[in-house]
Amino acid sequence: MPEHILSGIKAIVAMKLKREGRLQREIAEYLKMDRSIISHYIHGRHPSDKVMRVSEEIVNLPAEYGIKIINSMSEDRELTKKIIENIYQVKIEIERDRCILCGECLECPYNAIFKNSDHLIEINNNKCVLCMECIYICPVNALNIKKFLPNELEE
Amino acid sequence: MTVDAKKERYNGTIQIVRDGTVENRVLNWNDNQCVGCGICSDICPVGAIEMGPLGAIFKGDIEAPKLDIDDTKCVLCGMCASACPFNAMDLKINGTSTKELPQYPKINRDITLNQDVCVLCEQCEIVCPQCAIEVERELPERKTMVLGEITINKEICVLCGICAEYCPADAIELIPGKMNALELNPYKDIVVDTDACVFCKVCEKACPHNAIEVICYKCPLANRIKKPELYKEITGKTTINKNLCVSCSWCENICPVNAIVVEKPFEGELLIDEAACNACGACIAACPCNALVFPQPEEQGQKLPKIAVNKNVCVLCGACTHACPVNALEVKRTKINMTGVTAPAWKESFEKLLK
Repeated sequence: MPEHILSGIKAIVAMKLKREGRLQREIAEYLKMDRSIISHYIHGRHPSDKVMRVSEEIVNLPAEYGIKIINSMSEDRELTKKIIENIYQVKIEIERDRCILCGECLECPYNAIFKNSDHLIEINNNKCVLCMECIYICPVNALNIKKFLPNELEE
Repeated sequence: MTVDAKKERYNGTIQIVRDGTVENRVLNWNDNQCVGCGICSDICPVGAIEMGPLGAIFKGDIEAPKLDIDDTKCVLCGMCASACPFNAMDLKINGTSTKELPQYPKINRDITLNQDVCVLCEQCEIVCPQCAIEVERELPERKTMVLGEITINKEICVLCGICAEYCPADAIELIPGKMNALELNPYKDIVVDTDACVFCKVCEKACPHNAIEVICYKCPLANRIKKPELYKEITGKTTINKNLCVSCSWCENICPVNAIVVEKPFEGELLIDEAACNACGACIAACPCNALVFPQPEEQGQKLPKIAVNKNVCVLCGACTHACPVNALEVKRTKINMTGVTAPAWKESFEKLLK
C-alpha cells in the first residue's frame, strides 16, 4: 500500500514537472523511474483513482505533516528529498536568534549540520535530506522548515 | 539521532556528559566554588537549573547542594558555564573548556597585584572574605635591629633584683641559691638574656649600686655602629588565588598603598526593600563578599536600616536575592563586563541578567 501511495505522489510530481516543461527523460532520471512509467503518468494513465485521492490529500497537507508521511514511505532519502522539495518548496533553516549552540543537532545522521569557525551552527542544504530529525531534536525550535522561491530549486 | 545526556553526582559536584559522534560535551558543577548567585539558573534557556533552599543552606539549617541540574532538560549548551562569574560551572567541548574558546562569551573580572608596591601589611589577607589572599613575609630577627651591650659588674652587684623588677623585657634573671647551711645566700648569680634585652638602660638607671652598664648601638649618642636599615631587609610575597577570589574588591578598598586593582563583573546597584525585610539575616549569611551587615546603632534614636550594604564590596552577584525568603532584595545590573558574544540568542540571554 505505501508503495502505491508513493507512486501516486510520484505521478503528481511527474505531471507537475511536465507542466514546468521538463523532458520525459529528465523526469525519469530525477525520480529514478522507468521512462515508460513516466510516459504513462504524463498521459493520464496514473495509479487508481483511490490512490490518487489519497496522494492528493498528502500533497495538500501542510508541509510539516506531509513531509513526515512521505519520509515514512521510503528509505531512499535522495528520492524523498526530491519529492518533498518539489511538492512543498521547503528547506530547513536555522533561526540564529533562537539557536543556543547546544550542539544537539550536530548528530545529524547525514552530516548536514556543522559548526562554522565562529562556533555558530550552519546547515548544508545540499547534504540535508529533509528527514526533519533536527527539527524534532532542537530544544529551542531554532530549526524550521521554510518555503523557498521556485527559482532557488535549480541550485 | 538523539544522544542522551548522562548525569553523575559525586560529593559536591554534578557532571553531565553527552558523548555524541561529533562532539563530546561535559558540564561540570562544583559546590565549593558555587556562591549560590543563581545567575546560571536565571540564564538557562531551557530552565534546567533549579536553585536549592539557599537561605536555609547558608544559615546552616540544612545541608544540601546549592543547585540541581535536571539532566532531562539540560542540553549542554554551556550558557551557564559562560555566565558563571565564579568558575563553578565549566563546559568542555571535545576536551576544551569554553572559557578558552574565543567564540564563547566571558564575564570579565580580574584582580591584579603590584608586588613592587605591596608593603606586606597583611591587611588584605585578614579581610578577604574568601581567604583568597596569602601574605608571606620574612622579617629580620629582632636582635639584628636592637643592638647593644649590657654588662653587670658582679663584684659590685648585691643581687638585690631591683633591675629584674624594672626590666620591661624580662631579660634579667636571678639564679636562686640553695639557702642551706653550706650555701646561705638566697641568690647565687644574676644573668641577662641578651636576646630579650632591648638595651633600654632602665636597669642601669634603677641599679642602686651602679653595677650595670648598658650601651645601645641604636642610640644616636652611642653612635658606634650604623643604624640597621630595617625596611630593606623585609622580604616576602603576596599571592592571590584567583580561583577563590570573587572580585569583591575589599582588599582594593583597604590597601594602604593601592597595590591591588580589582575589575568587577557587573555594574549596578543592590536595592533593599525596607518594608519587606524581616531582618532574618539569610542575605548576610549568603553574601560571598561580606558586603551586608546588621547595622550597629551609633547614637540613640538614630533611624537605621534593617540591613546595611557596602556598595564598594558588593559584586552584584545576586546570591542575597536568592537566599532572601521574602524577596526584599533586588539586584539591578546596568552593565555586564563581558566580551565575545557572537550568537544572537546568547546575547539575548545575557541581557536577561540586566534589569
